Amino acid sequence: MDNEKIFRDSIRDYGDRLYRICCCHIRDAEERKDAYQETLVHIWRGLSSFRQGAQVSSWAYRIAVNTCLDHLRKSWRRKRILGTRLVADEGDPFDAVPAGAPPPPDERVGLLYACIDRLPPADRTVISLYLEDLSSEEIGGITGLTEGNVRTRIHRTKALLKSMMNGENDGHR
Amino acid sequence: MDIDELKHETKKIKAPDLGALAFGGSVRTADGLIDELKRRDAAEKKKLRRMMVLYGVVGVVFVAFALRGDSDPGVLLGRWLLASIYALVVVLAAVKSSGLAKVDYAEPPLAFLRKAERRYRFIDPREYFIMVPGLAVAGLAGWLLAASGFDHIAHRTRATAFDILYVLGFLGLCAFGLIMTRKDWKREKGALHARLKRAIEDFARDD
Repeated sequence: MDNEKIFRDSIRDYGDRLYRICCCHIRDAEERKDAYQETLVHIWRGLSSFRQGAQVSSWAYRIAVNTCLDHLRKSWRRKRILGTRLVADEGDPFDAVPAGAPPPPDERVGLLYACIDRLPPADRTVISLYLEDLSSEEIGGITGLTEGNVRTRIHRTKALLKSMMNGENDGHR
Repeated sequence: MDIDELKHETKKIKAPDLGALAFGGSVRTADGLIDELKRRDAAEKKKLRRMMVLYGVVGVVFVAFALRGDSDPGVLLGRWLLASIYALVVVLAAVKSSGLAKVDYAEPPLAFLRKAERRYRFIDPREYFIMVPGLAVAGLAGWLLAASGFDHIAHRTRATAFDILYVLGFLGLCAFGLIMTRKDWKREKGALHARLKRAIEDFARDD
């Protein structure tokens, strides 16, 4: 398969999923869009080292996760330079959506992302992939965590998110 | 609220159109994006080539300066040593800006974060292998050039005192540079480095 075809397929088949992974990691709408754009650039630049026969989806998800982790570093630097607060204000994750942008499909989804934002990075990554219906084995392959570790993290994070969404765990993080 | 119930709701979130991204107004399709990325890659390669030409021109000027006729072999050696340090800096810069030092975003996050943490350390232990000999050579080159100048104005018997003063001055300068760089690193990158370390601990934790 030639590189341009892999790239086209990645955008067509996984674009939405890659963007949702960004949603789990980055709350600010503009920064999320930047991270998605950077993910596409990194996919393009990484094509030369992509092993033929490997799964495109896992490879692309991993690039999205790392781009988001890297973006948090970059946004931290930017915030530091601008002198703004390091930690984003608590609130709805779609607060920063500019006028005209599509509203969140469901308020509960907005709340879910707000709660995910309060998780530690590894749990956030695992749950972002879980929400894309990936199996523990696939998530383990992408993150480098063991399958057992992934299962434990999913179980614990789901319970935690549930209690956070029900307002039972406000002091997390 | 159950997370699994919300799973399918999250699927309603779609990626923004390519036209809404900051690639430029002309990018609307995947093919347009490919063209834009190719254009950016070509521009980056051109920039890198220009940098290498600039380094080359400065290198030629430097070598011409080093070869400038001078009867004192110590001065000549000092200049050559400075020129070789310049060459070392150019090679390191070239390696850094070429593909060899590029970040691999397709690595597992833990390996990715570990490499990022290494890049953000105050000094990577491996850098000592370049930094210490580099400083020693720079110190020697400086001494050769300064000692030659000193010999013109003072008697040779005072050379030992000069050497001691030079070594103390050079080490003091190195220590001052190290302290200031450390201070700057702590202000600029210290908190970020600590954050990366926490993220690594989080990923490395085997529950």
